[in-house]
Parts: sequence; C-alpha cells; structure tokens
Amino acid sequence: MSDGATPLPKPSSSVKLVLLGEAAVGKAPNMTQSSLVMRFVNNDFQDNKEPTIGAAFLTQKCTLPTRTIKFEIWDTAGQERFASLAPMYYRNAQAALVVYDITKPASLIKAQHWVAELQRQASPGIVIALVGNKLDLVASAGSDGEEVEGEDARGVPAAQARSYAEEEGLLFFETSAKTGERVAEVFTAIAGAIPETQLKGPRGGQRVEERRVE
Amino acid sequence: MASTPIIEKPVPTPARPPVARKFNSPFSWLSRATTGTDKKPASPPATSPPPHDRRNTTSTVGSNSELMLSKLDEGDEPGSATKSRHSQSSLKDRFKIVRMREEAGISAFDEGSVPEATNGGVFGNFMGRSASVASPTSPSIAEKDESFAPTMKHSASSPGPSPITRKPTINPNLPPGTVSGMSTAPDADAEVDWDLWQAVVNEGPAAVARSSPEQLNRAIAGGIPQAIRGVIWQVLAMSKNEDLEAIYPQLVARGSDKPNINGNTADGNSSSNRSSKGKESLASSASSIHSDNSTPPMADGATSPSLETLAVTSRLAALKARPDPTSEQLAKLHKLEKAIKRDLGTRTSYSKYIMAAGLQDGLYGVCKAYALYDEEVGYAQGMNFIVMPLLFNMPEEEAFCMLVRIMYQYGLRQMFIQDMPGLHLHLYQFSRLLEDLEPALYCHLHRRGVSPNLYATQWFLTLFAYRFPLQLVLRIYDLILSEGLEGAILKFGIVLMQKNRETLLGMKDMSALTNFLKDRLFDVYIDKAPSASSILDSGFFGSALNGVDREVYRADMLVQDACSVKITPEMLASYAAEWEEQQRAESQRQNELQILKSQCTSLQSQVRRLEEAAEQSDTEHVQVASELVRIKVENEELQDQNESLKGQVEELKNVVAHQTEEVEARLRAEMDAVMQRNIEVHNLNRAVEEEKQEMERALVDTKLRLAQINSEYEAIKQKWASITQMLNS
Repeated sequence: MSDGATPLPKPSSSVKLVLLGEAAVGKAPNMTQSSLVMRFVNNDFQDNKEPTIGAAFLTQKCTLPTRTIKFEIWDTAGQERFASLAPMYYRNAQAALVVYDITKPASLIKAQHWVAELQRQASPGIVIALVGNKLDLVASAGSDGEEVEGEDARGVPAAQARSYAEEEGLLFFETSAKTGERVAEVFTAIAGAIPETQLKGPRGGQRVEERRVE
Repeated sequence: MASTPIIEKPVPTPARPPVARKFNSPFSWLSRATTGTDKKPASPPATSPPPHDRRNTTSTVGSNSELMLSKLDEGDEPGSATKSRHSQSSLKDRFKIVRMREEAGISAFDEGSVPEATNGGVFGNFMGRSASVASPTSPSIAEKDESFAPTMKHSASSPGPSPITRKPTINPNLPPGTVSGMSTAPDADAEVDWDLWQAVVNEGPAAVARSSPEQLNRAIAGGIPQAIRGVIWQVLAMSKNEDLEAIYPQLVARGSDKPNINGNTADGNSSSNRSSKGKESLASSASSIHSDNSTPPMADGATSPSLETLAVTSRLAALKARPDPTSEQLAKLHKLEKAIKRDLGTRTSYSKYIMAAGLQDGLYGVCKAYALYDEEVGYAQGMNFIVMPLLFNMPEEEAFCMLVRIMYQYGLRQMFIQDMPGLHLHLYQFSRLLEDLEPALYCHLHRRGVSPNLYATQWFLTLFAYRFPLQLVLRIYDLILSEGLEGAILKFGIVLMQKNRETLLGMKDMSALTNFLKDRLFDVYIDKAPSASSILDSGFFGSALNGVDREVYRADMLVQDACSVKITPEMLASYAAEWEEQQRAESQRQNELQILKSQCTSLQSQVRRLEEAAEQSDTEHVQVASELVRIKVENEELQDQNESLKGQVEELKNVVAHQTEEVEARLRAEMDAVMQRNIEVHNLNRAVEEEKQEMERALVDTKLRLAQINSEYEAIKQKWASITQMLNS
C-alpha cells in the first residue's frame, strides 16, 4: 500500500467480502469479528462499539504487486437470531471471512456451520478464509501457536483448525485484532487467492466503463 | 418535589409573570371552554414569528413532569389514597395533572438547576425522587377547579394580549439541551388541542377516531406534546396492563441471589399493584371495550385484544407457577443477563443524552423481563434500541407492557422470532413500494447492488432508533402507535428515500451510497435556522454529552411528508400476498430443487455404475478382440505348418514306398551273403572237425608210444639199478 512510485495505475477491481462468525458472547469488552475489520480498515481497535444490526458496511483498498483490490466488506451481526439475514449479504460475495475465537471450541463449530452453508449456498468459487481470532489471549504461544499450546486459554489447537481448513480448501490464519497481528496478511492472502477471471466479472467491468464515460 | 426550587423560567417576555407555582395547585386546571375559545382564533401570526417558531408556551415550557408523574403510582408510599384506581383511570389522572401543569405553564426547573443537570446528577435524583410528589390527582378536585381556570389562564399561560407573542424566549446561544425545553414540537400554528387529547384519554382512541378522525390525525401528525407523550402512547396502544406490571419486578429479579437488589422499585411496584389488584379485571375490559372499533393500529389485531388478554393471563399464571429455577436454567439466565449487559451503556442508542445514563437499569430490566416473558423470542439485539425511546417517556414497567403490546399486537414480534419472517416481509414490501413509487431510484440502486435489505434492515429492526436522531424517532413512534407498525415504518422509509432522491441519484459509488443511506439520510430534515422553540425541543433529554447531535430537525415536516405518502392497506396486502406467493414458490422451488438434487445424485451414481460396467465390458471386449487377433495369427501359422507337414508326409510316403523294395533287395542280398557265409563256415567247421579227429588219433598214437617209452624207461632204470648194485657191491 505504500509503494506509490508505480508510474501506471495498477488495474483495480472491487471484491465483495462477507464476514461471518459467532457473536463474541460473554467476553467482556473484547473484540468481535468486526474489530478484525476495524483493525484492517483503520488499523485501529475499538473496544466497545454499538452492536451491529443487520450488517455494517466498510471498504478498504489492498494493494498487491500486480493490482489493487478494493474490498467491500459486509460485517454481519453475530447474534444467532440474525442468521437468517446472512444470505442477503453473502449472495454474490467473492470472498468470505469466517471468524472463530481460538479460546472457544464452540465458536469453531459455529464457524464450520458457516463454511458448510457457504459451500452450499454461496456463489461457487467463493474464496473462504478461516480465521481464529484472539491470538493475544494465548500469549505464550509463538506466532505459529503450534508447539507451545496447552496450559493457557487456548481452546482450539491450531493444528486441528488447520487440518480442517486444508480438508475443506480454506485459507487459514490465526490473528489478533487487538494487537493487529497478522490481520493485514489475511486480507492480502484473500486478495491473492481470488482468481483473475473473477475480477473481470460484470461488477468490476462495469465500474471501469463508468469511469471512462465520466 | 416540593423541595426542588420551582421557579418560572426567567423569560424576558415582560408580560409573563414570574410566578412560582406548586404542582398541586388546584387552580391550574384549565377548563375545556377556555382552551376551546383560545384555539378558535387560529392565532394568525400577527407578530411574524420566526419561521419555525412552532410553539406557544403552553406546550413548550415545562419539564419532565410527566416522567415524574408517571412515577406517582409506583413511588407513593403504600396505602396512599390514590391507589384504588384501575389502570385506565390512572392514565386519565396522570393526563389531567399534566394538562393542568402544562396549561399553567410551570416549568419544573429553573435555569439555575441546569448546570447541575448537565452534570448528570439531577436527572438521576429526579427520577428517583418523584415519589415525593403529592397526589393532586383525584378527579373530583380537578373537576371542581374548572371554574378557576379562566382566570388562571390569563395569569399563568398567556403572557400577553396576543397568544402568538408567547414564543419561547431562550438564549439562542445556549446549545440545545441546556434548557429544559419540552417535547418534539407540535406545529407552530397549532396550539395543543388539550380537549382532543383528553377525549383520547377518556374515551379511547377508537371513539375519537370515529367522531373526529381528521382532528385526531392532524394532532398526531403534529406531534404528541412531549409532556403527555408517554400517557398518550399507552392510551393509543392500550398497553396498560397491571398484571404485566405486577409480574415485571419478578421477571427482573429472577435469578438474582438477592431479589431485593431491585428492592426500591420492585417493592414500590408490587405494593402499588397489590393494592390495585381488585381493579385488574377492569383494565382488561377497558381494552376490550374498544376492540370493536377498529382504529388504524388495531386493524390487524382488532379482533384479538381479549384473546391477547387471555394469553397474557395464562402466561402470567404460568410464570407464577414456575418452580425455582434449576442450575441449568440459572446458567441460561446468566448467559442472557450477560448478553443484555453487553449491549448497555455506550452500545445503545441515545447514550449521549444525559438522561440515558439514568435509564440503563430500566433498559436492562425491560430487556431481561421481555426475554423471560417471551422465551421464544428472548433477547435480540435491536430490542435495546427500541426500548430506549419508550423509557424516555414512561417508567420501566409501563415500558415493558408497551413492549409486550408492540410485539404482540403491532406485529413487531414477527420481526424478532426465529428466521425473522416479518422483517423479510417488510423488506419486500419496502422494495416493491420503492419500485412502484420511485422507479428511477429503485433502478439506480439496484444497478449498483444496493438493495433495501442492505440498509433498511436496521431501520425496521430498531424502528429507526439505530441511527436516527431522537427528535425524529419519537415522532416516528407517535405514528407507529397510532397508525400501526407496518404502514408507519414503510411510510417513513419511503419518504426518506423520496426526499433524498436527487442526492442518491447523483451518487455512483456503492460504498458512498451505502454510507449515505446509513448515516446521512435524515440530514435533509436538519433545520438550518432552528427556531428557539425547536432548540428547546431538541434539548429535552439533557444535552448531548460530546456536543454531538446538536442539529435540530424539522420533525413536523418529516411526519407530514410521511403522512402524505400514499400507502394503502390494499397495496401492502397485495405486496404481502405477492411475498407469500413468492415465498411459497420459493419453498416449492427449494423442494423441487431438493428432489431434483437427490434424483440427480442417484442418477449420477447410476451413471457411475453404468460407466463402470461399460468400462469393464470395454476392457473385456478389448481382451476378446486381441485374443481373436492372436488366435487368427496362430491359426495362420498352424496352417503353414500344416502345409509343410503335408509335404513332408508326401515325401516320406514316397520314401517309404521306395524303401520296401530296396530293403527287400538289400535283405535278399544280405541273406544270400549270409547263406554263402554260412556254407563257408559250415565247410570250414567240417574241415576243423576232421582235423580234430586226426589229431585225436595222433594223440592216441603218441600216448601209446609214451607208454612204450615209459616201460622201456623202467626196464633201463632196473638195469641201471642192477648195474649200480653190482658196481657198489
């Protein structure tokens, strides 16, 4: 995002990304999925924002070596009751971020439900990333978190989630929205994983045309 | 309250006597006649007030008095004389007090108390302290006092010869909220029609709607005076239900170790309710009385109030009969409490108002009580936003009844139950209305992928309380409660889109559109040049903490615009039918899809099986073919072999045929030779035998000769011996 020296503007396209995951139930003022996005969008972490009703909308650009990607992020409400609204948001989405809390095994199960639903209902070829958040709470674990797990707050072994992700063909990360650890990486990886052909879809193309007309 | 300094607002208007008046002054009650005449001149603005000077003192000046008043019942010491009233009449009484006070033009605070108020302390106090307000409410006094009204009217509420000059005089430099202004704004030229409101309270909205529908509509569209808003809301919704109020503290207290944590309110409530138990039945009958006249909001539920009452009573019985919660239930309860607590404080709407800080317990209580009352719905985010505007206008147990009423009777519940069918329906209706009424805008948004689902969900699930300014939301609630939920929210949604049509059409970018739709939609109603009275209005709930939301909105215009949107029940019904049809078709399609999918998979497996079989037979075929080829080749080889062998045989036969003669010839020759030889050998043999006989004869001769020799030898030997003897001798 910093190398503004390129003489020609890189091809840019927009990607609709939907954020799914269980509500951060019970955890005192702590991060919800949306904080992950807040961290990404503003490089900021808000402890206590108003609850999301329906979905919140955010945008953020992500620069890859060959192109620029503008994420249109739909952050859905986490409460179970709002699950029936999710299809409105993941319809036509090119990417999905399914978040769980690495201290709570139940949240991974919920995440797996979302993954299954996405694979069943969302557009085929959607890029799904599985993200275990709250890495900061298992501070003793290294950045990979594989060797040194156990005695602390971790409830989901990284290896378990990773093997699940590999089975289903998902991208997999463990992040901390609070410290910002590996957050940007997630989005860069998603941007990189979206096939070039998808980006030339009707939405992206239309945009370019419009700009030319203007 | 007697202890609070009650001083008339220091209004520069000279004609206004700075009279300090006690609340319980019996003289402040105004007669019907007075207001009537007062209203008739229609008050043409002789002194050309500022464009948005929308109020005369009677309605603007005032206080949070109704909030205190609404506490009256609950706050009074047990055993007070006011207890023996059923709920309907208590609302009536409350209304009378407010009207009395309003028309007298007494303010609850003087400005001197304002600095304290902004510190947040006074509001809290004043919520709790209202208990001390005396009860001047017995109807008989009020009636008697009517005669005093005309005189009082002049001294108290009409500061000058012309009523129009009674514009509220505030220092416009003060930020909104630092003045204890009243209410969100009835129109500038419409004086509060106390008679009408009184009729609504006394006779019920249905009766008024029948007798003077236009007046009522106009009055509601003009905004319910803030002072009586809580009362009118409850009358409109017919929400007052003492059974529910009685159960409320129990619900709130459930699961807490020390039920008396909420002791202050809970005890007060239960005692007041206990004393009014005898009248409970009246409350329900009061609501059913009007059930046959379908006022607009009741259109959908017109037949069911008594049913609902039944449902409520049975529910209550069930709640009362409930045994002590098990540990599992306690854990569930604990989880619920945590979920609600998470959404309190700054995470809810209007937290920037100072007054909101004092309402957090109430918010928590109402949410928890509702979640326990209606376990199928429980607590869902969004409810907290809906409850807040209620709490600004009535005590928590009434807000709870109101919420129950809105949920069940107004159909809000359909938006919160599992899968949220109501929400989806309203979103569809909204989308169709937009398509029909604003086709250009609809297409524009549709093309950019901004469907109503994406922005209107928040409006409907929170009844616009999620982002919208409180000034507007209260007015939206007015209309919802009087007209019904469905029509009102759709009208407001549509009117906001219409008002912003040009701006929206000018935006090309999806994110700009989305953000505008979320946050800036109501900006068209910002009052650029707010009048003093509207500043007053906006500050009613205490100043905004950070100075945000200082805007003053033209709520009247919004409501007028919304009312002018032509949405008929028939349209909505037809859209609803369409939606249901679509849903049905959709579910049919889903089913069909499901069936087709399963068929497809079975066929696929069949195909796979057949393919496997085909493959197998293919390989077999190949094998057979190659075998055949191999055999053919072999065959040819064998034929060749055969040919050669045949030749060989021929040759051999030839050979064999010739050989016999040869062999015979040779054999004969050989035999001849052998014969010859045999004869030769035979002859030889005979010669040998003859030789042998000869030799045998020779032998015999020899042997004879030997014997002769031997006898000669012997004779010689004897001679030798006789000689030797003769010699020796």
